[in-house]
Amino acid sequence: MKRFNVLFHKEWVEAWREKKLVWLPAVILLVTLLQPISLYFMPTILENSNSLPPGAVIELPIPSGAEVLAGTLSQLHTIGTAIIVLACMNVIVQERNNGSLMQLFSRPVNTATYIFSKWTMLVMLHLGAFTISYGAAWYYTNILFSDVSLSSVWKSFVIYCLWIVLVITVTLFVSTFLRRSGGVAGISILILASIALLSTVIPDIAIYLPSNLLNLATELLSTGKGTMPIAAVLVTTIAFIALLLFTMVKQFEKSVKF
Amino acid sequence: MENIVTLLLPVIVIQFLLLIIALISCIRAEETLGPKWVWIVIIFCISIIGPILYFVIGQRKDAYK
Repeated sequence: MKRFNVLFHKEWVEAWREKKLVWLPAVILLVTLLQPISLYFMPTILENSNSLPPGAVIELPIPSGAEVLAGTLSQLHTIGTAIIVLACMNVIVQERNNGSLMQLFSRPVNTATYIFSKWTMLVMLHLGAFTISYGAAWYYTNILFSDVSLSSVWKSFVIYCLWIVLVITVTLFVSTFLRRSGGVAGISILILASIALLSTVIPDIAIYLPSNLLNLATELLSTGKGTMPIAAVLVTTIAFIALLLFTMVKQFEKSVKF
Repeated sequence: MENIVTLLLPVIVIQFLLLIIALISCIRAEETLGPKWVWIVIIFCISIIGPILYFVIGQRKDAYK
């Protein structure tokens, strides 16, 4: 436990040094904030654009607060996932390439301790950033559009947190195999995209797949309770994350034996 | 019009913060991946994405200096 604390502390220091502690929350906050604001000003933006013929009448229905927040989530799903992968792709690869990994494992350090210190730090950082930005998006939605109840926001928040944890785990998993950060980012996004593709190819198992988390979260936002079984996707996602963590530790143990 | 400014204020502040932090970290870095002046131009000219690019691929992080 003491070793874990030391490594965990080192992770935070490193994140501060490369300013990840600042830019990651800032970027995620920007992505989420721009969605409600741009939706609110959409009529003004369209009015001021020159591409419309004079006299054109556009009537946009005002979206409800729940729809706006759901839009924010899906915005985060595309851009945010890419940002999370970019932020996580370097963590193991870099240490492996500059030799500090070799020096670290010449001491009695457990691979599981090492992996979990990284994983815990990344999960805490990303979930913290997501909490702040989702809260801010909720605040903006409430003042610009209609109120969304706290209970449905809370449920969708918890559901969506799982997706973020999954993205982090997949990226770390791939980085225990590959030695180039570009390759790590590519393969991780490929894996995450193929999960989504699988749900369209085989619709029967779609409700069990982690890519269903976004649909579930948006549905919880708009109706308050989902028509889809929540437990199924929760169980498969958590099992998938646990499996990835387990294989990651095993694989990493093999690769750092010299 | 005032409405727009107050609403966009947080966004502008965050964007500005990102720019400043990226600039400071780039200037203070001993070495960057690629010429330093190119990174400064990128950070200045491409909003939001420029600083992110610098933070993700521009920094050279050697553990032992």
